[in-house]
Amino acid sequence: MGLLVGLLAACGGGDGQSATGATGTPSSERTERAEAVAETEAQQQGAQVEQAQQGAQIETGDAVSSAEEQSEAVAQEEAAVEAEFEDESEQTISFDEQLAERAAAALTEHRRGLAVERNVLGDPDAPVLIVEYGDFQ
Amino acid sequence: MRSGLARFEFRHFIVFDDGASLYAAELTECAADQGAFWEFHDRLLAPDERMYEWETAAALADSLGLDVGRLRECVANHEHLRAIEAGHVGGLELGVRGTPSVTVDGVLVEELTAANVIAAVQAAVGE
Repeated sequence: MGLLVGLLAACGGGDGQSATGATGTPSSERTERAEAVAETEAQQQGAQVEQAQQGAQIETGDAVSSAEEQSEAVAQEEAAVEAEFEDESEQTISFDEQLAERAAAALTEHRRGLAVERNVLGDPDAPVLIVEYGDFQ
Repeated sequence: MRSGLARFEFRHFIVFDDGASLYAAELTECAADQGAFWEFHDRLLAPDERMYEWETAAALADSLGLDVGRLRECVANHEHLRAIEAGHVGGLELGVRGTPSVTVDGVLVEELTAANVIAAVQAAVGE
């Protein structure tokens, strides 16, 4: 943005005076004056353009440096969040594993000593059949 | 109550039509082919969603000494699908509408509590 503003200022830097605006002056003199004015304006404009370019370079350099710093900071922040998330995930998985193992062990304990035939527990000759209809979800 | 009065059977009743329930049912039936129905049943009822990932199921099968390749083939080929569906239809015919539900000698226990199941068994054997 600074570059754009600088260039616009440099390009629009003329004072609006016209070399042909003077009246009652001999033609050769007018021409010389006009040339002198034009040269001065050109020099001024050149200086302003150079200034603007320098400013733009400084601003661009600052912007690049600032962007690099910001990217680095963002990357560091993201790495920290990721590390924290990984820690939490590991804790959750570990907790779930323990819970699942305890729950499965408790279920296993309940059927200890019972005869097993496929999906049937207990004496296959027992007179009464208890059926559980279940869904694992 | 005397011991040896009743036997207990688990049948699949697919409530959630999301594929996972059926997968779990087929997995347990295929494990049953190798004598490990209850080990898989217990792990699937425990709060461990990873059992729905093949790697976890395969690791359990391997730890139990099962033929993992055969288990995978059985699940992939839906070898027990018809039996599972038949069990579901049988449950519907007895009035099962949700899980868990229990029947005693084919009679649905209306309000599912341990006391009601015991009472239903006692009634069935005339005690």
